[in-house]
Amino acid sequence: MSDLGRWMEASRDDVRPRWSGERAQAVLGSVRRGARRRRVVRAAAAGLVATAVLLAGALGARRAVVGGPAVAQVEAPAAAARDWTAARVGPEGDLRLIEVTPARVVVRVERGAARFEVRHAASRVFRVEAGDVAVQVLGTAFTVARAGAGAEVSVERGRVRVFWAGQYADLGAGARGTFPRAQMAAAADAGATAEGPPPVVAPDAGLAAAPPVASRAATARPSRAWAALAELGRYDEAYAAQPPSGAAALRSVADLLLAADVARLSHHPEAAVDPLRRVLDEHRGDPRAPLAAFTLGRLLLDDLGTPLDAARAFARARELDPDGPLSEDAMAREVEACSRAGETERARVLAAAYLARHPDGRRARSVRRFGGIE
Amino acid sequence: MRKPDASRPPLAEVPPPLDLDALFERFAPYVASIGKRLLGRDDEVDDLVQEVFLTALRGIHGLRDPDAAKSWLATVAVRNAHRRLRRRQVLRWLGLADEVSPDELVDESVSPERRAKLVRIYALLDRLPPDQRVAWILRHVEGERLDVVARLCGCSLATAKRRITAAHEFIERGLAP
Repeated sequence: MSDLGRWMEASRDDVRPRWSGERAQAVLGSVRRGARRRRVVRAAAAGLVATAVLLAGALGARRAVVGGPAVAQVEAPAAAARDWTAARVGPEGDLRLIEVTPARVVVRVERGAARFEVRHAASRVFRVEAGDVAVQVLGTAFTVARAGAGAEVSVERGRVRVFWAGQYADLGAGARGTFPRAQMAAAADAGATAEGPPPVVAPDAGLAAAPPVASRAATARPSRAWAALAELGRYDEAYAAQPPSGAAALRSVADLLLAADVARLSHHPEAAVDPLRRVLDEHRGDPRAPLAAFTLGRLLLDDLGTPLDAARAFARARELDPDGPLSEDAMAREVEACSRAGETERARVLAAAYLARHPDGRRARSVRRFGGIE
Repeated sequence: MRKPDASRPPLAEVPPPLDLDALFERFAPYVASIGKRLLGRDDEVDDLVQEVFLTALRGIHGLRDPDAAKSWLATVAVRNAHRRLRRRQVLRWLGLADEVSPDELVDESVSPERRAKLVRIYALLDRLPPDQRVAWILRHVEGERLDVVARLCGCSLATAKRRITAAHEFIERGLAP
């Protein structure tokens, strides 16, 4: 066998799916649903009627529902993944389904209270609006009860982010808070929970300034258990056990990159930002710095929706290693980020530079599209 | 009166058919791995696994031997991946295909140098006809024997060898400094 063949076979495990028990369950559920659908279609004497019903269901799931009617209980449409439910608490509860798309679910609590169970999905935002308060879900079960112009939020498990008047606070399991509230009151209130004070920051402080998330149960633990858990692929446990990103215990590039991976793979993309920035600030000469910059850009663009910051990160990746293996991808994604940020002229100029440098580049088509030079 | 068929084991010795849950629990990670390596991206793996097991459901009642099941699922997975690659090729030709970032392809724990090389190889594989790509990956990534590659690809041994060689030369040329 040739060197390439041997190298490739040795690299086999480097290309593997991010397969997990949760993902397996979701796919198995789809198989079962698919099998059920097949049985229904086969069994239905009126085949045309059955087909029409299925088509209507599938189309309904894709269409956004805007300003929906008051409901007592709602759950994900049948054709979509059944990964969330919302139910009013008490007879006075008034719950409205505002929007359902694959990328976003919005439910509004008009009156009374409602309880939600939501499984985390990186590609979908689940949001509950209640008066002047919006609760964004990070994978959890919680109750939102209207209180005056705002709402009282109680979290049973998992974590939510509550937004109000340009501020936000994270609430972990067992925490309860009434919003809107003053910054000091927020800190004091959540400080009574078992998980320590939630971060309360102004949005203009930016993601890099956001303190470590509140639900990290073992922030005082200095052990390396988190790294061992990460190596085993147990990212949720590793995330709970790892030290805060600003801690002295996290100093080496390897640890910072691992901490960022743990945050990303345990579905806490916002917590991956700080360790990646620290690699760039404290270890800019390290050969892994371009990878950190590229990963940061991807995170900011794909997971956190901040294209301007993402464009800066991709530019940094190129600047750190202009002829490196990531340079072409970084440039292409910078074009995309600029385009998404509305910086069309910058996107166009960058796209032209990309095409001049990589005329047959594998990202040439998307660069033309995002650069507006098709 | 009909004579008993000597080629068939007595009913008591026939193992019960495999059920979906058992089959899925045992082989879904395997199918997902083949799918990821053939397709080179993570976001199509769920759909591929789902379609493979939906296909498997049709023949599940005849499945009793887990080893035979694994081989059969691999065949279904390869054919499904091949269809997807052909569709992707058409979409790319039309300028409609999404491109994949390196993070989608390679495991997070891989060193940057190794990651970069794998990304380059998969970029070259993207330019190959699906027939050659699939045969080369089965041979050099999955480490399958040539006769198994031929069976999984549904072609003759000579054709499988020809496809693998063509892909290999193309990739080596692409990687040459």
